[in-house]
Amino acid sequence: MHSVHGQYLHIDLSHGRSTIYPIAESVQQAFLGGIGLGTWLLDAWCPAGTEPLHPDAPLIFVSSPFIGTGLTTASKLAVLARSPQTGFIGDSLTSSYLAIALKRCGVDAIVITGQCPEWSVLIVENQEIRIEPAQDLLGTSPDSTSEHLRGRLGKQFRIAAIGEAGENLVRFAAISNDGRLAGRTGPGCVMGSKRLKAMAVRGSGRLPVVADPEALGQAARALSRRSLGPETAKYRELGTAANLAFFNKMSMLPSRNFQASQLDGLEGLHGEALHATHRTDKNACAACTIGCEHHYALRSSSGEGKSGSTVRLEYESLYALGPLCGVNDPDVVLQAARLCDDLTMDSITTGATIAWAMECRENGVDLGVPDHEIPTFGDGDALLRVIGEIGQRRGLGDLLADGSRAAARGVGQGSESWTLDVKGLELPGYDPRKLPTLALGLAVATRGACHNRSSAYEVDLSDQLAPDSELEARVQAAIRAEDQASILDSLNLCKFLRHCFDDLPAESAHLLEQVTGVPADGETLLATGERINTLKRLFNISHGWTREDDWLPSRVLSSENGQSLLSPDWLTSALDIYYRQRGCDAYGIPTSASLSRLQLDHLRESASAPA
Amino acid sequence: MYKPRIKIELFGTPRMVAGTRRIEATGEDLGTLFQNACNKVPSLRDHIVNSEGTWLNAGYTFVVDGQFTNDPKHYVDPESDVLLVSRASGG
Repeated sequence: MHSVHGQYLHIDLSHGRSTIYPIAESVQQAFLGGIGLGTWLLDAWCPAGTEPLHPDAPLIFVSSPFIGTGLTTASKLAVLARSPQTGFIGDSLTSSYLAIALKRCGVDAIVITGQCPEWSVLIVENQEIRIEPAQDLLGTSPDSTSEHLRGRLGKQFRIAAIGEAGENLVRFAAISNDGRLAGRTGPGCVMGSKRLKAMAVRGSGRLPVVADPEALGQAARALSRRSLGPETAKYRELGTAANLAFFNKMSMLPSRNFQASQLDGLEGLHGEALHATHRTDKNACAACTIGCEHHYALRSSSGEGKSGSTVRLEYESLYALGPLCGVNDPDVVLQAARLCDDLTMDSITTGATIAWAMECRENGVDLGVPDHEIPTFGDGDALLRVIGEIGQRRGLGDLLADGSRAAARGVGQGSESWTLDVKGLELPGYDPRKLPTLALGLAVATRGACHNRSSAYEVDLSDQLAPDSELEARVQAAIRAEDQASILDSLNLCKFLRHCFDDLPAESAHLLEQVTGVPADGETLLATGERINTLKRLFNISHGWTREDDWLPSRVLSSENGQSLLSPDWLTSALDIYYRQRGCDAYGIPTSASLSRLQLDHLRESASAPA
Repeated sequence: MYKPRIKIELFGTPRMVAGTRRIEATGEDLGTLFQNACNKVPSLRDHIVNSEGTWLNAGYTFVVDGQFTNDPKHYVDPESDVLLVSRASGG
């Protein structure tokens, strides 16, 4: 198989040792790379009973066959761990030059276990490792850490680092590289538990050759041209911030902790307005032609005087730190996004957990601190203060640093009824009450309430299905969306490319064949997506998942205000159909026939981890 | 003959290109309404029209009364809530 190395590097931080392990070609064909291969490695290295923050728990970085091939947007790195936030699979993708550096090291993945005796930096040069003290870097942002390390080690090194949130074991801490975050499910917390402030990687080897360079070159140029067409214009011109005005108009914008789906007075937060008032420039990820990362000027809370610095802003941060908390001041939201980046934590969970606390204040819930320390909806100054407290686990922040579900379980008093999460991961900025296909996608998503692992909103926000379609067809569409997302996540292609394909599975399969030389077609690639999703489900099952975990928050299933298209009966029926179509029994467990059809019975046994 | 005017609310790039949040135009179906809107705001043609100049390019879609549609024959009337948005409506 071309464009892979067929091996991965295991690093034991406790003993400062490293070992190379082979990856069978059958495994690479079955799981591709990225999230797929990472799931296989995680399943092998994190057996049942391994607690997420135990030294034995793995933290895994994975490349893909597409990285370094010239295919646009393919320089993505997958990061996996058992999530300290959900207890289930934690998988994130982040775009960066680190992905290329890792592949130049001659391995397809790095698996890190153990714990450094003191705060350290892990330095990986090709397949050699060394561990150096990092006390002097504690308390610094990932950008500062990266600048310091690249100054000391050389510009060829690429850095993944955590901020204060990871150091303080905030359960939703992220890992940053090149200013992009592996953001959801808390990989930065796992990295912090290993006393690993940063990983610096330099690879000087040649990238493995692709099977058909000439054909791939033509295909890559064609894809790049298409990536500059109308299908991606929104991302290039305005970025995802453009969603806010439209979602608000459609009453799909979760606001005030999902107490509303629309909010007045948000004009200043509209992507179109931010573009005019705050936008400074934009940037593209490594090897990306689209360039969706828009930067905005940071100003003081009063709106006066530019500080000179900027922040990148995506829709999800805009939603979670803005309307979800009842905040409509763009300067506050931009500062909040910057704080989340500097502390390095997931902005969705940050905003959603603070919104939960705001509702606690409304309802007089005792959070163990004086009332005036609990933020209220719309109070921007309090939002900024509490974000800082979370990152440093001070005051109220210590409670909120475990996420909304854990905080609500801790304080009780009825506050569990207004946590908006699935499996402990807070909902993204799409109100599922108006988006039934996405609602199912969020309920069954293996990493919790995630729009990226399902992308089922595509079905709701298009004319693919009539609003009154049979549930059977809606479930089928949700499954296809999941499998297509797994394909992209395992080839490490950006989802913003999805509209650049007329037939995503078939065209991706064609590219895969040109890259690896392994014959592929759309159907086999969709089956690969199904295999990866099923393995994620198996991982969760081995870590305690039951059907009750595939459930939506009571607020979105309630007919309160007559807003929701959903109900408990609807979700029960949808799940019954979903499990049947997925080849699971009524409890959501994949049947042995399904495992055999997907070859997961023997592929799971072939895992080479010396657990 | 009286031709009722229909409001099209613009989002994202169409709003920026047109420099306004709403356009009023006439038409009994989306195809005619769209052509008349482009005649009124020619800058839209440079960004959101297909290469034949007949309809939206692949980046955009209409939403009529909450329903996504790319059908130029879709009927509209003055009471219709017509939105013009990016086809990539999510993240």
